[in-house]
Amino acid sequence: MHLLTAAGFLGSGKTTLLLRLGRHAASAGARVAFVVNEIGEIGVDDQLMRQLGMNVWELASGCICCSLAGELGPTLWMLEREFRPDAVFLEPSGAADPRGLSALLSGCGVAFESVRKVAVLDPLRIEALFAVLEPLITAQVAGADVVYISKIDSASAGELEQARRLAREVAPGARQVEAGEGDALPPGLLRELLPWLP
Amino acid sequence: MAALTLEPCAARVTWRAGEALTSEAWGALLRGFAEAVARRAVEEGAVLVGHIKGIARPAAGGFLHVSAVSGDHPATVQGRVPEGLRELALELVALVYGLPQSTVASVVEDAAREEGCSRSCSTAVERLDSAARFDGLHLEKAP
Repeated sequence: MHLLTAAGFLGSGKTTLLLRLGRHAASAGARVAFVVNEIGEIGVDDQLMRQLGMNVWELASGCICCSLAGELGPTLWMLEREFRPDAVFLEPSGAADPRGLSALLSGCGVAFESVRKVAVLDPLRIEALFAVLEPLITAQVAGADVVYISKIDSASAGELEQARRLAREVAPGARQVEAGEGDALPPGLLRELLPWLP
Repeated sequence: MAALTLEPCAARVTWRAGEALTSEAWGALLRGFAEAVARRAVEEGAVLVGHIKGIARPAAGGFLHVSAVSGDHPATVQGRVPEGLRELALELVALVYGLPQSTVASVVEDAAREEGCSRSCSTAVERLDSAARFDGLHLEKAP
Protein backbone atom coordinates (compact mmCIF):
# COMPACT_ATOMS: atom_id res chain seq x y z
CA MET A 1 0.00 0.00 0.00
CA HIS A 2 1.40 3.37 -1.04
CA LEU A 3 0.79 6.58 0.89
CA LEU A 4 0.43 10.15 -0.32
CA THR A 5 0.00 12.95 2.22
CA ALA A 6 -1.07 16.49 1.38
CA ALA A 7 -0.16 19.29 3.78
CA GLY A 8 -1.18 22.90 3.40
CA PHE A 9 -3.21 25.60 5.04
CA LEU A 10 -7.00 25.71 5.13
CA GLY A 11 -8.41 26.42 1.69
CA SER A 12 -5.08 26.09 -0.09
CA GLY A 13 -6.37 23.49 -2.56
CA LYS A 14 -5.44 20.16 -0.97
CA THR A 15 -8.80 18.53 -1.61
CA THR A 16 -8.91 19.75 -5.19
CA LEU A 17 -5.42 18.40 -5.90
CA LEU A 18 -6.05 15.04 -4.24
CA LEU A 19 -9.33 14.63 -6.11
CA ARG A 20 -7.57 15.25 -9.42
CA LEU A 21 -4.81 12.81 -8.51
CA GLY A 22 -7.42 10.31 -7.37
CA ARG A 23 -9.28 10.51 -10.64
CA HIS A 24 -6.04 10.02 -12.53
CA ALA A 25 -5.11 7.01 -10.43
CA ALA A 26 -8.58 5.51 -10.76
CA SER A 27 -8.50 5.95 -14.52
CA ALA A 28 -5.27 3.94 -14.52
CA GLY A 29 -7.03 1.16 -12.63
CA ALA A 30 -5.70 1.89 -9.14
CA ARG A 31 -7.80 1.43 -6.02
CA VAL A 32 -7.45 4.53 -3.87
CA ALA A 33 -8.74 5.21 -0.37
CA PHE A 34 -9.00 8.77 0.91
CA VAL A 35 -8.54 9.49 4.61
CA VAL A 36 -9.73 12.99 5.41
CA ASN A 37 -9.31 14.86 8.67
CA GLU A 38 -11.48 17.88 9.40
CA ILE A 39 -11.66 19.79 12.64
CA GLY A 40 -15.23 21.03 12.32
CA GLU A 41 -18.34 19.18 13.45
CA ILE A 42 -19.33 18.61 9.82
CA GLY A 43 -17.16 16.96 7.23
CA VAL A 44 -17.48 18.92 4.00
CA ASP A 45 -14.49 17.57 2.09
CA ASP A 46 -15.48 13.95 2.61
CA GLN A 47 -19.00 14.66 1.37
CA LEU A 48 -17.58 16.31 -1.74
CA MET A 49 -15.26 13.39 -2.38
CA ARG A 50 -18.10 10.90 -2.02
CA GLN A 51 -20.22 12.93 -4.42
CA LEU A 52 -17.38 12.58 -6.91
CA GLY A 53 -17.23 8.81 -6.49
CA MET A 54 -14.24 8.45 -4.19
CA ASN A 55 -13.82 5.95 -1.33
CA VAL A 56 -13.52 8.09 1.77
CA TRP A 57 -12.85 7.53 5.47
CA GLU A 58 -13.35 10.55 7.67
CA LEU A 59 -11.58 11.46 10.92
CA ALA A 60 -13.66 14.37 12.16
CA SER A 61 -14.01 16.82 15.03
CA GLY A 62 -10.36 16.93 15.96
CA CYS A 63 -6.85 16.84 14.63
CA ILE A 64 -4.97 13.69 13.66
CA CYS A 65 -1.76 15.22 14.95
CA CYS A 66 -3.13 15.53 18.49
CA SER A 67 -6.70 14.82 19.65
CA LEU A 68 -7.31 12.14 17.01
CA ALA A 69 -3.76 10.80 16.87
CA GLY A 70 -4.90 7.46 18.24
CA GLU A 71 -7.40 6.96 15.42
CA LEU A 72 -5.11 7.32 12.44
CA GLY A 73 -3.13 4.12 12.91
CA PRO A 74 -6.15 1.84 13.39
CA THR A 75 -7.85 3.43 10.40
CA LEU A 76 -4.85 2.78 8.13
CA TRP A 77 -4.44 -0.72 9.55
CA MET A 78 -8.12 -1.50 8.91
CA LEU A 79 -7.91 -0.10 5.39
CA GLU A 80 -4.92 -2.25 4.54
CA ARG A 81 -6.64 -5.43 5.70
CA GLU A 82 -10.23 -4.85 4.72
CA PHE A 83 -10.26 -2.47 1.75
CA ARG A 84 -6.86 -3.41 0.34
CA PRO A 85 -6.19 -0.21 -1.60
CA ASP A 86 -3.24 0.32 -3.87
CA ALA A 87 -2.80 3.70 -2.23
CA VAL A 88 -4.09 5.87 0.59
CA PHE A 89 -4.35 9.61 0.03
CA LEU A 90 -4.21 11.28 3.45
CA GLU A 91 -5.44 14.85 3.90
CA PRO A 92 -4.76 16.29 7.35
CA SER A 93 -6.66 19.37 8.42
CA GLY A 94 -5.23 22.60 7.09
CA ALA A 95 -4.78 23.78 10.66
CA ALA A 96 -2.55 20.81 11.44
CA ASP A 97 1.14 20.96 12.06
CA PRO A 98 2.47 17.99 10.08
CA ARG A 99 5.67 17.64 12.07
CA GLY A 100 4.10 15.02 14.31
CA LEU A 101 2.56 13.12 11.43
CA SER A 102 5.73 11.36 10.29
CA ALA A 103 6.24 9.78 13.70
CA LEU A 104 2.59 8.71 13.82
CA LEU A 105 2.84 7.10 10.40
CA SER A 106 6.07 5.29 11.11
CA GLY A 107 4.60 3.87 14.29
CA CYS A 108 1.18 2.95 12.98
CA GLY A 109 1.99 -0.66 12.19
CA VAL A 110 1.48 -0.40 8.45
CA ALA A 111 4.46 -0.94 6.17
CA PHE A 112 3.97 1.42 3.25
CA GLU A 113 5.60 0.55 -0.07
CA SER A 114 6.22 4.25 -0.64
CA VAL A 115 5.43 7.54 1.09
CA ARG A 116 5.22 10.78 -0.85
CA LYS A 117 4.50 14.20 0.63
CA VAL A 118 3.06 17.16 -1.20
CA ALA A 119 2.67 20.62 0.31
CA VAL A 120 0.05 22.86 -1.26
CA LEU A 121 0.76 26.57 -1.18
CA ASP A 122 -1.91 29.20 -1.87
CA PRO A 123 -0.18 32.21 -3.42
CA LEU A 124 -3.25 34.44 -3.06
CA ARG A 125 -2.97 34.66 0.72
CA ILE A 126 0.71 34.06 1.26
CA GLU A 127 1.43 37.48 2.69
CA ALA A 128 -1.49 37.35 5.15
CA LEU A 129 -0.66 33.79 6.17
CA PHE A 130 2.96 34.57 6.76
CA ALA A 131 2.10 37.63 8.83
CA VAL A 132 0.25 35.61 11.49
CA LEU A 133 1.05 31.92 10.95
CA GLU A 134 4.60 31.77 9.67
CA PRO A 135 5.68 28.80 11.86
CA LEU A 136 2.67 26.73 10.79
CA ILE A 137 3.01 27.52 7.10
CA THR A 138 6.74 26.83 7.20
CA ALA A 139 6.15 23.50 8.95
CA GLN A 140 3.59 22.48 6.35
CA VAL A 141 6.01 23.16 3.48
CA ALA A 142 9.21 21.84 5.04
CA GLY A 143 9.94 18.20 4.35
CA ALA A 144 7.72 17.97 1.30
CA ASP A 145 8.83 16.03 -1.75
CA VAL A 146 6.79 18.38 -3.91
CA VAL A 147 5.57 21.92 -3.29
CA TYR A 148 2.47 22.51 -5.38
CA ILE A 149 1.66 26.18 -5.89
CA SER A 150 -2.06 26.33 -6.60
CA LYS A 151 -4.41 28.96 -8.07
CA ILE A 152 -1.71 30.49 -10.28
CA ASP A 153 -4.36 31.62 -12.75
CA SER A 154 -5.70 34.00 -10.07
CA ALA A 155 -2.40 35.10 -8.53
CA SER A 156 -0.45 38.25 -9.31
CA ALA A 157 3.18 38.08 -10.41
CA GLY A 158 4.24 39.34 -6.99
CA GLU A 159 2.19 36.73 -5.13
CA LEU A 160 3.59 33.98 -7.32
CA GLU A 161 7.16 35.10 -6.74
CA GLN A 162 6.58 35.16 -2.97
CA ALA A 163 5.26 31.61 -3.08
CA ARG A 164 8.17 30.43 -5.24
CA ARG A 165 10.68 32.06 -2.92
CA LEU A 166 9.09 30.49 0.15
CA ALA A 167 9.14 27.07 -1.47
CA ARG A 168 12.80 27.45 -2.45
CA GLU A 169 13.86 28.65 0.98
CA VAL A 170 11.85 26.27 3.15
CA ALA A 171 11.98 23.15 1.02
CA PRO A 172 15.07 23.54 -1.15
CA GLY A 173 15.16 19.88 -2.10
CA ALA A 174 11.53 19.70 -3.17
CA ARG A 175 10.29 19.75 -6.72
CA GLN A 176 8.26 22.89 -7.35
CA VAL A 177 5.13 22.58 -9.48
CA GLU A 178 2.52 25.18 -10.34
CA ALA A 179 -0.96 24.94 -11.78
CA GLY A 180 -4.21 26.85 -12.02
CA GLU A 181 -7.70 25.60 -11.29
CA GLY A 182 -8.39 24.63 -14.87
CA ASP A 183 -4.95 23.46 -15.86
CA ALA A 184 -4.08 19.86 -16.57
CA LEU A 185 -1.88 18.31 -13.91
CA PRO A 186 1.73 18.48 -15.09
CA PRO A 187 3.11 15.02 -16.04
CA GLY A 188 6.11 15.62 -13.79
CA LEU A 189 3.79 16.03 -10.82
CA LEU A 190 2.07 12.74 -11.54
CA ARG A 191 5.39 10.90 -11.84
CA GLU A 192 6.62 12.49 -8.62
CA LEU A 193 3.54 11.83 -6.50
CA LEU A 194 2.26 8.62 -8.03
CA PRO A 195 5.50 6.87 -9.03
CA TRP A 196 3.89 3.48 -8.55
CA LEU A 197 1.34 4.01 -11.31
CA PRO A 198 2.14 2.17 -14.53
CA MET B 1 -4.41 41.78 18.02
CA ALA B 2 -7.14 39.29 18.89
CA ALA B 3 -6.16 35.92 20.27
CA LEU B 4 -4.98 33.53 17.58
CA THR B 5 -7.46 30.79 18.32
CA LEU B 6 -9.58 28.76 15.99
CA GLU B 7 -13.08 27.82 17.08
CA PRO B 8 -14.83 25.95 14.27
CA CYS B 9 -18.42 26.94 13.66
CA ALA B 10 -20.82 24.60 11.88
CA ALA B 11 -24.36 25.27 10.76
CA ARG B 12 -27.11 24.09 8.47
CA VAL B 13 -28.62 26.96 6.49
CA THR B 14 -31.87 26.40 4.62
CA TRP B 15 -33.20 28.86 2.08
CA ARG B 16 -36.74 28.61 0.72
CA ALA B 17 -37.51 30.55 -2.44
CA GLY B 18 -40.89 31.89 -3.49
CA GLU B 19 -40.38 30.41 -6.92
CA ALA B 20 -38.36 27.58 -8.41
CA LEU B 21 -34.71 28.52 -8.99
CA THR B 22 -32.14 27.30 -11.45
CA SER B 23 -28.94 25.58 -10.42
CA GLU B 24 -27.07 28.74 -11.45
CA ALA B 25 -29.26 30.88 -9.20
CA TRP B 26 -28.66 28.62 -6.21
CA GLY B 27 -24.95 28.65 -6.99
CA ALA B 28 -24.96 32.45 -7.08
CA LEU B 29 -26.74 32.54 -3.73
CA LEU B 30 -24.14 30.24 -2.16
CA ARG B 31 -21.29 32.26 -3.66
CA GLY B 32 -22.72 35.51 -2.32
CA PHE B 33 -23.32 33.96 1.09
CA ALA B 34 -19.79 32.54 1.47
CA GLU B 35 -18.24 35.82 0.38
CA ALA B 36 -20.45 37.70 2.83
CA VAL B 37 -19.39 35.42 5.70
CA ALA B 38 -15.72 36.00 4.91
CA ARG B 39 -16.19 39.75 4.52
CA ARG B 40 -18.26 40.12 7.70
CA ALA B 41 -15.78 38.01 9.69
CA VAL B 42 -13.01 40.43 8.75
CA GLU B 43 -15.24 43.38 9.70
CA GLU B 44 -15.81 41.75 13.09
CA GLY B 45 -12.07 41.64 13.69
CA ALA B 46 -10.99 38.20 12.48
CA VAL B 47 -7.22 37.83 12.40
CA LEU B 48 -7.49 35.54 9.40
CA VAL B 49 -10.22 33.80 7.45
CA GLY B 50 -9.16 30.17 7.28
CA HIS B 51 -11.85 28.54 5.19
CA ILE B 52 -15.57 29.04 4.70
CA LYS B 53 -16.84 25.89 3.02
CA GLY B 54 -20.09 24.05 2.63
CA ILE B 55 -21.99 21.51 0.63
CA ALA B 56 -25.65 21.20 -0.34
CA ARG B 57 -26.93 17.76 -1.30
CA PRO B 58 -30.65 17.99 -2.08
CA ALA B 59 -32.73 14.82 -1.94
CA ALA B 60 -33.50 15.33 -5.63
CA GLY B 61 -29.85 14.67 -6.44
CA GLY B 62 -26.74 16.59 -7.38
CA PHE B 63 -24.69 18.83 -5.15
CA LEU B 64 -23.29 22.32 -4.86
CA HIS B 65 -20.00 22.92 -3.04
CA VAL B 66 -18.92 26.41 -2.07
CA SER B 67 -15.55 27.61 -0.81
CA ALA B 68 -14.25 31.02 0.25
CA VAL B 69 -10.87 31.81 1.75
CA SER B 70 -10.92 35.56 2.24
CA GLY B 71 -13.06 38.64 1.94
CA ASP B 72 -10.95 39.84 -0.97
CA HIS B 73 -11.18 36.92 -3.36
CA PRO B 74 -14.29 35.49 -5.03
CA ALA B 75 -15.75 32.29 -3.65
CA THR B 76 -15.79 29.23 -5.88
CA VAL B 77 -18.79 27.03 -6.52
CA GLN B 78 -18.76 23.61 -8.10
CA GLY B 79 -21.40 21.04 -8.92
CA ARG B 80 -25.02 21.28 -10.01
CA VAL B 81 -28.43 20.65 -8.52
CA PRO B 82 -31.60 19.79 -10.44
CA GLU B 83 -33.40 22.71 -12.06
CA GLY B 84 -36.47 24.05 -10.35
CA LEU B 85 -35.64 23.52 -6.68
CA ARG B 86 -37.54 25.77 -4.29
CA GLU B 87 -35.44 24.92 -1.25
CA LEU B 88 -31.78 24.26 -0.59
CA ALA B 89 -30.02 23.28 2.64
CA LEU B 90 -26.31 23.97 2.99
CA GLU B 91 -24.08 22.34 5.58
CA LEU B 92 -21.41 24.89 6.38
CA VAL B 93 -18.17 25.01 8.33
CA ALA B 94 -16.62 28.39 9.08
CA LEU B 95 -12.98 28.27 10.20
CA VAL B 96 -11.95 31.75 11.28
CA TYR B 97 -8.93 32.67 13.38
CA GLY B 98 -9.30 35.18 16.16
CA LEU B 99 -13.07 35.26 16.67
CA PRO B 100 -15.06 33.33 19.28
CA GLN B 101 -17.44 30.72 17.97
CA SER B 102 -20.45 32.77 19.05
CA THR B 103 -19.34 35.71 16.94
CA VAL B 104 -18.69 33.51 13.91
CA ALA B 105 -22.14 31.98 14.38
CA SER B 106 -23.70 35.45 14.38
CA VAL B 107 -21.77 36.34 11.25
CA VAL B 108 -23.03 33.18 9.54
CA GLU B 109 -26.63 33.83 10.56
CA ASP B 110 -26.59 37.50 9.52
CA ALA B 111 -24.95 36.72 6.17
CA ALA B 112 -27.42 33.90 5.49
CA ARG B 113 -30.44 36.12 6.18
CA GLU B 114 -29.01 39.01 4.19
CA GLU B 115 -28.28 36.85 1.18
CA GLY B 116 -31.67 35.14 1.42
CA CYS B 117 -33.47 38.46 1.72
CA SER B 118 -31.68 39.89 -1.32
CA ARG B 119 -32.97 36.95 -3.35
CA SER B 120 -36.49 36.84 -1.89
CA CYS B 121 -35.85 33.64 0.06
CA SER B 122 -36.82 32.84 3.62
CA THR B 123 -33.86 31.65 5.72
CA ALA B 124 -33.49 29.22 8.60
CA VAL B 125 -30.19 28.66 10.41
CA GLU B 126 -29.50 25.72 12.70
CA ARG B 127 -26.23 25.58 14.60
CA LEU B 128 -24.50 22.23 14.49
CA ASP B 129 -21.32 22.93 16.37
CA SER B 130 -20.58 21.58 19.79
CA ALA B 131 -19.21 23.43 22.77
CA ALA B 132 -15.76 22.10 21.91
CA ARG B 133 -13.08 24.74 21.79
CA PHE B 134 -9.85 24.27 19.89
CA ASP B 135 -7.61 26.65 21.75
CA GLY B 136 -4.55 27.46 19.72
CA LEU B 137 -4.81 24.24 17.81
CA HIS B 138 -1.33 23.61 16.43
CA LEU B 139 -0.80 27.30 16.18
CA GLU B 140 2.21 29.33 17.11
CA LYS B 141 2.28 33.09 16.93
CA ALA B 142 4.89 34.47 14.63
CA PRO B 143 7.56 36.37 16.58
